[in-house]
Amino acid sequence: MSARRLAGALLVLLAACDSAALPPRPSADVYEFRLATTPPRVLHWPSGNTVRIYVAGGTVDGQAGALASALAQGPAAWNRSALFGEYRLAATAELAAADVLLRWSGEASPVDLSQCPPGGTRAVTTFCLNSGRDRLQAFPLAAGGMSRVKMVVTILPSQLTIPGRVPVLVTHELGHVLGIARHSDEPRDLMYDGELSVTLPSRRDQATVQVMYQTAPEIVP
Amino acid sequence: MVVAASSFCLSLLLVLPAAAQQPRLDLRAGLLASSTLVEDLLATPALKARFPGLGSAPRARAALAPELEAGATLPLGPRVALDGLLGWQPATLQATDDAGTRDVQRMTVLHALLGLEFAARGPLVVGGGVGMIRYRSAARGLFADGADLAPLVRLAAGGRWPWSGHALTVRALADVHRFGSPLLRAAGGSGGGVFRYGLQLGVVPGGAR
Ligand SMILES: [Zn+2]
Repeated sequence: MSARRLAGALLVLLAACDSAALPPRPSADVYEFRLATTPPRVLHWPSGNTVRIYVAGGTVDGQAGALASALAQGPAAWNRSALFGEYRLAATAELAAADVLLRWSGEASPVDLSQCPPGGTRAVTTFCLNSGRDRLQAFPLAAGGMSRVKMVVTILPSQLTIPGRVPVLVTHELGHVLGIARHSDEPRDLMYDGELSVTLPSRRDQATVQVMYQTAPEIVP
Repeated sequence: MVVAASSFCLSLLLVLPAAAQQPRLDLRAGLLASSTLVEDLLATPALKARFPGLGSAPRARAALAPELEAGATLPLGPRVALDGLLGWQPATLQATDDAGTRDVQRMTVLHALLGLEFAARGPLVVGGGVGMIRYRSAARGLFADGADLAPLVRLAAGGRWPWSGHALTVRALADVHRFGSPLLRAAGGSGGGVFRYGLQLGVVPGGAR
């Protein structure tokens, strides 16, 4: 085989060499994710960021390990959707390194929640916008000084009595932590605002978070 | 084409008479760059209309990285040699989108190659080969479900010089290979071609001719 033939063969191969591709996401697979301000605003962490989550497990028997074990599943479920390293959720054992606090309601919080108290019912993700409404404020430490915690996930302890409920709630709230500031109207999505029938992000949840992280943020934690 | 080229090499091995010379160790080290591995065409016009800040298609590629190859070269005649090589390239998967370029995860690119190299004029050598390639990485992101073993075609040209009884080589090379994965298929995507290219320095101990 001459060099000329080899070069010709390579050129033919190159001409047929479109790179591997993921297909466009159908519009119906992407639900509204923007914060319900007027106009709606995109909130998400800077691309490439690792979002570190600290668990305040509580002191009540049976509660202490439940959030930590829920956190063993939730980040991996969402991290699968970050195909291009847009974000990474990870647990941290150090409050000083945490961007997010995961806690039980009714338990003492290591950060001061008085400026932005958590409401909601079963589970809620709380954050405080700054006056310019383009950043999230860090929560003060309960013991004084500032933390770097920008979001607090609060779970109602009564959910612990329902088998399998807490891990699903935590994974759902991690969708809000990533920036999905709304809910899906499709019961088969993890970000559905009702009785959850799935335990992992659905195809629509994945498409939504992928589109969200390719959309320029207007609010950055 | 890859199948045809493979058959060509295998039949060559079968019909050639026993080589007059023994195979010699062939060591090569290079620096290889790569074209896009995967592109995400996620944004439709409808999505762009709904979300005005939605950017262009993110894409990922292997960053420029060193590469090592080791194997054997067997002279089949005064001007042609058969090469069998195993290659190893520790690389970083890099993603680029509107937010910039960032490292995503480490990966290892492994390949096996069977090729022929011809002495052209003076020290000039040209060659080509076929083989297989596989990307290995932690099971997350694009590699959540692994990656396929894929065919590889190589074209190379360079020079070969005797030095103290050894042969020193310099080659410019271009690899074309497929990339596909279960994740791509599950998402309704398609595999595609990758162009890997770079420079190699090599030595064949005792291989001066
Ligand atoms: Zn919710």
